[in-house]
Amino acid sequence: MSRTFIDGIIKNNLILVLAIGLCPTLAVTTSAYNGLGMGLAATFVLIFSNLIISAFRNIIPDNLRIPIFIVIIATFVTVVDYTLKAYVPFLSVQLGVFVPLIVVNCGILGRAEGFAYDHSPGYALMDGLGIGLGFTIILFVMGTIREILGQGIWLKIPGMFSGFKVFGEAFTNSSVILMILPPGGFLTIALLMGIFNLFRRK
Amino acid sequence: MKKRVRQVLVLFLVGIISPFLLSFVYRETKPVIERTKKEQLNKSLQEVFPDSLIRFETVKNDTLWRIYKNDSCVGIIYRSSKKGYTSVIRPIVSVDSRGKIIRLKIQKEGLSETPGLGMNVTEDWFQEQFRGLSEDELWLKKDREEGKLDAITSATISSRAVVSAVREGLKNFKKYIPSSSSTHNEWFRNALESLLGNSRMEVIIQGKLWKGGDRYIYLSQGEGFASMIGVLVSIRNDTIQEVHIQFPEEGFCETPGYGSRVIDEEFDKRFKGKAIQDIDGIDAISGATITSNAVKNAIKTGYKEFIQGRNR
Repeated sequence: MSRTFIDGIIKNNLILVLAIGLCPTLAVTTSAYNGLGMGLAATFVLIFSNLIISAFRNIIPDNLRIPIFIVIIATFVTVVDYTLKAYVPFLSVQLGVFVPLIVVNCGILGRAEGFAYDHSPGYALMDGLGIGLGFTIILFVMGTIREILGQGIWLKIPGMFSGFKVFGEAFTNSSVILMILPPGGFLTIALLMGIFNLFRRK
Repeated sequence: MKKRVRQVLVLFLVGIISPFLLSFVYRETKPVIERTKKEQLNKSLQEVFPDSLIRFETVKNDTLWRIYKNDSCVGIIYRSSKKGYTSVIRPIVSVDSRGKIIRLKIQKEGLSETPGLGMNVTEDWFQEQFRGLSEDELWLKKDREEGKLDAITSATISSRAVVSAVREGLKNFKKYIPSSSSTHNEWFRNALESLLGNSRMEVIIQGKLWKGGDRYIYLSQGEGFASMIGVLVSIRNDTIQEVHIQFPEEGFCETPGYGSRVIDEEFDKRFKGKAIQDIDGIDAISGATITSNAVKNAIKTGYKEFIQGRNR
């Protein structure tokens, strides 16, 4: 079981290995806090959708499984959406449309279809935790790289904390704006994938 | 057949359970969401008019508010919107009773201009430029000669969008600003007529000083809390005969209280028969010191001008 958990983080890493769920990954990782928030929101949905789908895998009719998965995922996404809106409104504004879009995140549907549907709830839970953690870590790292290079600060939490000044005033005033624009997302993700594969080959 | 029934049943159950769960979550989070929204709105209103003694009254839901201080209306706050470069820019603007911008704040919700360029419209130096400007001055310097605003370097579209959102909002909502000039003129005509009575009016300084029989009448202004207060004073033998005070809220902010209280308590009567040097000793209306002092100052500055004008 712990094997499933670790596989979820490394061998089946959603972004670096399976390369699914890339759309929100590229879009929201302009800051470390956004990445973390998105990762945790997706993890929550992943754990519960995996658990429910695996628990009811014997009564879900085969030919109707996709629509049922979607309804189950959508339910948890809506729960997350309302909760964020109520308790962390700033984060909810930052993530914007990408929270409701977790419904169609192929990573989540992919795990439901590819793992939870033919494993017992225990394994499905572990898979959800592992995959979610792996996803969150990568989002956080990407957010960190892009925020530090693009804005010169780290871990800014809108409305609460103005972030650690990593490189001093001069850098903050003329940071590499490209990094928080869409190309920065592609550059960072390519860089991470490259480094990851370098180590995995060995 | 049995398989079909099972399929229908499962879908039916999923369709029942899921909305049931959601309705529960919705009921639990709705009041919190509404409270957070209200708090955020209140916070942004306070940011554009930072004063703890004020209260806001909604005129138009989510777009227009009046600011009341001690129950007198001192200005408005409005929200407008304009398409920027890659998103919609929504400034919240506070305006004083002279129709001049006090402060503005651009909402970060849904704002996604280019980071480092258009996004800089939220910077303080850009927003500070608007302070004290009136409608005709709300243009970029490069667009109109009378404009007083600098655009952000290489973010002209975003800058222009902010400026026109503010200007168009002011154009739409300025009729809600207390004390428009038309009510001022009406007040002035009536007050002057009542002071002159039957005597013939002689103009000494156009729009400032008049003579009727043995009385001189002058018009002066004093700076109140956030608006100019007009006074019309009649003088005979160096003593004040009568004072007419015009408050910005007259005919505008119907809420009874402070503003009209100064009229109710007949502050103007306290000046009757007083010489100019006695004015400082007159008690202010309690809780309305700024406004009372504005009236006194207006009378005093007007008096100096009257002496100069009379001796000319």
